[in-house]
Amino acid sequence: MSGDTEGAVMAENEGKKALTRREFVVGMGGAGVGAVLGGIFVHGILLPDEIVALPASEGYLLVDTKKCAACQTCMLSCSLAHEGETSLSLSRIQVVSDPFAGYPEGPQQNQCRQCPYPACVEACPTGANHVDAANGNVRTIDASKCIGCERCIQACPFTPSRVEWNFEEKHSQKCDLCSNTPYWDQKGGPGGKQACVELCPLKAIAFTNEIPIQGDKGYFVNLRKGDATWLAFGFPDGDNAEYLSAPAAQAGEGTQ
Amino acid sequence: MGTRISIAITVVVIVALGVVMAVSAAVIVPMNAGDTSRTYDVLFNSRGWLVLAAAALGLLAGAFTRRPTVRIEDGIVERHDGVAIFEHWLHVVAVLLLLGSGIALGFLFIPRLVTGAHNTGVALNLHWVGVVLFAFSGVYYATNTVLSGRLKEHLAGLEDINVGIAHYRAQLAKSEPPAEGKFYASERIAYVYMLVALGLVALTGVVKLLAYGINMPAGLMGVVTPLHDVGALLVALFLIAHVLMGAVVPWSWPELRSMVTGKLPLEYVQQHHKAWYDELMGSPARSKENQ
Repeated sequence: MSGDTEGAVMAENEGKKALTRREFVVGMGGAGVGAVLGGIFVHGILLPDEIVALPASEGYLLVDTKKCAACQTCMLSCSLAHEGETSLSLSRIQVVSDPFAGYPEGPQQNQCRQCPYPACVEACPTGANHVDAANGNVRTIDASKCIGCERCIQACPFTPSRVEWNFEEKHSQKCDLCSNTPYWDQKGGPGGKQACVELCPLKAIAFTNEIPIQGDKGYFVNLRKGDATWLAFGFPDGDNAEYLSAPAAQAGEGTQ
Repeated sequence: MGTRISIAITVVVIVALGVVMAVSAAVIVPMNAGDTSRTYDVLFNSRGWLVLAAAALGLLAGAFTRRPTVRIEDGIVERHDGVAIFEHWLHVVAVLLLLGSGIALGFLFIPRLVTGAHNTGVALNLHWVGVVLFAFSGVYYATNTVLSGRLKEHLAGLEDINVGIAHYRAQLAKSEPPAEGKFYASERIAYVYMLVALGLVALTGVVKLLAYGINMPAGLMGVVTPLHDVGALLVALFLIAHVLMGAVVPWSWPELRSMVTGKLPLEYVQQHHKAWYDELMGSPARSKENQ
């Protein structure tokens, strides 16, 4: 007796042919091919293109390059709060320093802008890079869902990319405004504290809940205005409108 | 032989097309016209359906495949039919693509060898090529092996542990080896190992593939990804042992040749696969197809 006869799954009444195991598998395979081809047709032709609207982040980091001394404390605190180690390579905020550039172009703080239309989120094929509704719509990455394709790193329109590669755990990472800091016992996120803001010795990083006004060089930020330490050294606290904090710029302060 | 060469050329062409597709899809392009954001095509995302189609095609092809019984002609035993040879070497190509790209991308304690989005894209897309090939070859193999009733000749029993030990003890002592079947006891034990390892990789791989289209729970993905990696490591370890014992050591060379030609001398079968030889001699070889 052949295997197929033994494996007959449906013995019909006399005069009708029994369905063999092999015929059953042929049917399953044919149904599978049909389902895949049908799915492509429905998805590709009948369904309209997907349109997604993402809510704006409820928090943003502001950096004032004119106050930055490139001490990298922000980088170390970021890495320590998130990864439990002081590694410049694991920081989500990046300070780049050009010793040959004149003031104030030397040190550049490169923080995630929490973009209203985040290309990094759009580029992620698995939803790992997402808008976290539970944490004030901050743009963040779920490491367990990251497949390491680096599309989000490439998609970030800024240089250097505000999404970095975590070479130790092999996934992308980005600023989450400290909403998930396993090694820092403070409430973070848009409604809490941020390690870099708290620890910057020159107060060159600040936090705001309002969407900052953005120009070619970044946000219009002036964190020197009203800073007693800054003024005590006799440094100028105002220049042109390019470097105003968002609320000040909106109020028309400091413009020349 | 002409059919086999045609199949081999077809496989080479398909793999070459896959590689070209993988590399060209990984070219970095603007996300939208005039955009400063750049991206590339992840084939798992845009062509994931091809994996499912390949598996369904494997099911169909496996169901239509008829396996011949063992033939003995002019003192030569056909140990592997054309289907077995095709399946084996297709598995080889697919697994090498999968392991090679997987190692390049880094997993568990293995560091990532590729840097930059383009190189990462090439590795990831080559992994997709391997998955498509393996989805076909794996399902095709499983289907025709079960339907032709050949699964039992591969599966190990508890007694195979003692036979396997006796085999290598005899080899070291240069004494009479135990009577082995068509497949050595150690091969059958390795088969069970590979069923577990590949089963783990395949099941977790399916979940990882579905994650491109369905928003999977983070906890599930946090378990599935390391399990996939552990399975891949088990497969890699097997591959090293398999190549060493099946291709490098001189006493396995006749068996390696049979994985290309399908044939083994009858004297060799009598000497190394005594139980199988007795079985063949006891029941006259038939050339008619086994249903």
